[in-house]
Amino acid sequence: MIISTQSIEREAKCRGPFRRGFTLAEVIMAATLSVLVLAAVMSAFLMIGRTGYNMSGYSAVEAEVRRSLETFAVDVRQASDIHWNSDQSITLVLPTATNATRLVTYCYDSDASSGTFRCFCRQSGPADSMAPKQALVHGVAPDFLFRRYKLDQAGGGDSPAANDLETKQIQVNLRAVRTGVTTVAATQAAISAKFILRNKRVSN
Amino acid sequence: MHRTVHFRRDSRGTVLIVAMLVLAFIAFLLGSYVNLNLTTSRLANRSYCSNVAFNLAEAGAEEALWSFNQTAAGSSAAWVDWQQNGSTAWRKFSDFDLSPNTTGWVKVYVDNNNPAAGIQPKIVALGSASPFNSEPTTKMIEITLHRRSFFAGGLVAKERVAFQGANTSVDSWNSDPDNDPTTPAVAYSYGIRRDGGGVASSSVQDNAAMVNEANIWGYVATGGAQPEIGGGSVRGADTPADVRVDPRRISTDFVANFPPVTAPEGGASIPLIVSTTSLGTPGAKTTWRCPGIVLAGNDTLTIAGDVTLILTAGPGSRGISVTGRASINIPAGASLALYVESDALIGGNGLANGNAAPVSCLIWGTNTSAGGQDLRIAGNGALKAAIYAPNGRVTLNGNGDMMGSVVADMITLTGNAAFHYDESLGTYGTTTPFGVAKWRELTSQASRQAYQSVFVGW
Repeated sequence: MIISTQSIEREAKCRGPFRRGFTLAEVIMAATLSVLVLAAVMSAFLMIGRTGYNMSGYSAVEAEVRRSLETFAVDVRQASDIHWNSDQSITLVLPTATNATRLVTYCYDSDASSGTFRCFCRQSGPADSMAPKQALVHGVAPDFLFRRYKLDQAGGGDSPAANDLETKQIQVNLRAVRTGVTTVAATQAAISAKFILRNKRVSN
Repeated sequence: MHRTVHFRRDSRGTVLIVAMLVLAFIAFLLGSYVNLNLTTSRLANRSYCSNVAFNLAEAGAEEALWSFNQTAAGSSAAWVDWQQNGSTAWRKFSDFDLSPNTTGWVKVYVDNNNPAAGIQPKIVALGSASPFNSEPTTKMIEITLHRRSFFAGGLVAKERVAFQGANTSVDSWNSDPDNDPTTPAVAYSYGIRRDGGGVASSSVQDNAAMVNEANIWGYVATGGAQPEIGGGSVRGADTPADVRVDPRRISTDFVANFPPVTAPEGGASIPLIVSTTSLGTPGAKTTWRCPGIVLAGNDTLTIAGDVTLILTAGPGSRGISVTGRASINIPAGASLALYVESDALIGGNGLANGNAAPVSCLIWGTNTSAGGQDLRIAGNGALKAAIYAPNGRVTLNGNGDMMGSVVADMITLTGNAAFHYDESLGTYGTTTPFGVAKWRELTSQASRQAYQSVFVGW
């Protein structure tokens, strides 16, 4: 009981109007520790945020690239002819439900004044058409290019085509980049399959 | 005491709230990550199913094409296991186990499995891939078929095409622009010439296409090597005026099938033709079988009506010998289909065809040994014929016009002939295998709508 009384008295003394405050050293140490802890927490939150932003960037790019390649594949597969405008632009001749044909151009837009600048685009008509461009993939790096191949030949490996006549397969290579103000760029490189122009005449 | 207790309660509450906020934030982040991963996973899965469904649709269409060509080859079992109603046929291939928890099937519909000549049947295939507990992904393709032609090119060789004349040329025209054989054929003239005249060899050898001094108004294709072009040219309507050899008109990946042909059965047997005579009946189709044709001096063999002539002379012998001023005449309105397994020399006044369309004179080389027959043919003014001899060495001699198509093991053009490929021969063929004329993937609701009903109920 004596001990309890002393304890209660000491506690009461400490909590009373005359209890002792923190020393300057304690305050400085506490402040320092708090700053360190808060900095660590803030850093962790920022890192989590940036990672999340990057992941959403990757996810968005991947979705966009998948969708664009699907659209591109559908058109290339049924193309009956191709016009190679450049490494970054091709025009496909597509059949319609009737026996008519229509043109579709796929290109990389390197025109800084264009609304689809740095996009992989699809456009109805020939390359110089005034039809609006549909951006399939945004934020594509300038090293975008198409590749064209001849019909696969036995033991021939890759056979690059030299002209429209012998072009039977098309491949697209692109690198989509998502950048943020304070984040590292999310980059997705895509090399498509070699899509075969099924309606292009090969032989008899 | 009262103030102390109150202070402790405040502290505990604050910590709880802060902890809950932090937990909520972490839960939100985790939820976002999980959602992101699920979305990416679904996307990847959907892409996989999309590719699988597409492959299934193509495999189904391939099955139907196989059945078509089995029919063309004379098989009576081509459409066994297919359900049929009139000329339509359909079949489902199912229970494909594609990966864990993913199954697939393909339904194939054929609108006319026994098409008459000139009819282009359609195959429609619907492929489906179903991941476990998810909506299936489907792909639909429509393929229009056509008969392949033996004469899809102007001068087509397995081994080599060589021009030896100093002033030879190649171009094309279409003798049947309305694709209606009952209307009069259009004769070749310079004014209607086109740049579809093709010279092709499937050989990978350096001498596959020896254009030399010839002027090609069309295309040159080989199996791998660049063509040898001396002072000649390869040009077309879209070639700039100052370009002699247009690289856009040269390809080096040419491949072709050269299926053998066999002579038809039957026919009335006649002796060796050795003097002036007429064969056939005007306005009628007749089939004849004889050992050979040997004409000399002023002898003339005149064809009447639609004649199929099968020469029975064996390989190594000369089944046809036309020399001196002798000739084989095909007057306007008549036609000749000549089957020969042996060598042939049609010189003299050569082969005189009075029709505008070369399809009226078909020469079929039935020899089955590579380079096993030698066909030497000269024209009288204008040689109009389509020659298919996949194992023959064909030499065309003349200084006039040569019209039609030649498919052979080796082709040599001597003299200064102007060769004109008849593009209408590109659709010739009533018993040839089927190929793909048009391939379409049906992606829109509107385009699929036309076939939705045929895939219901099975």
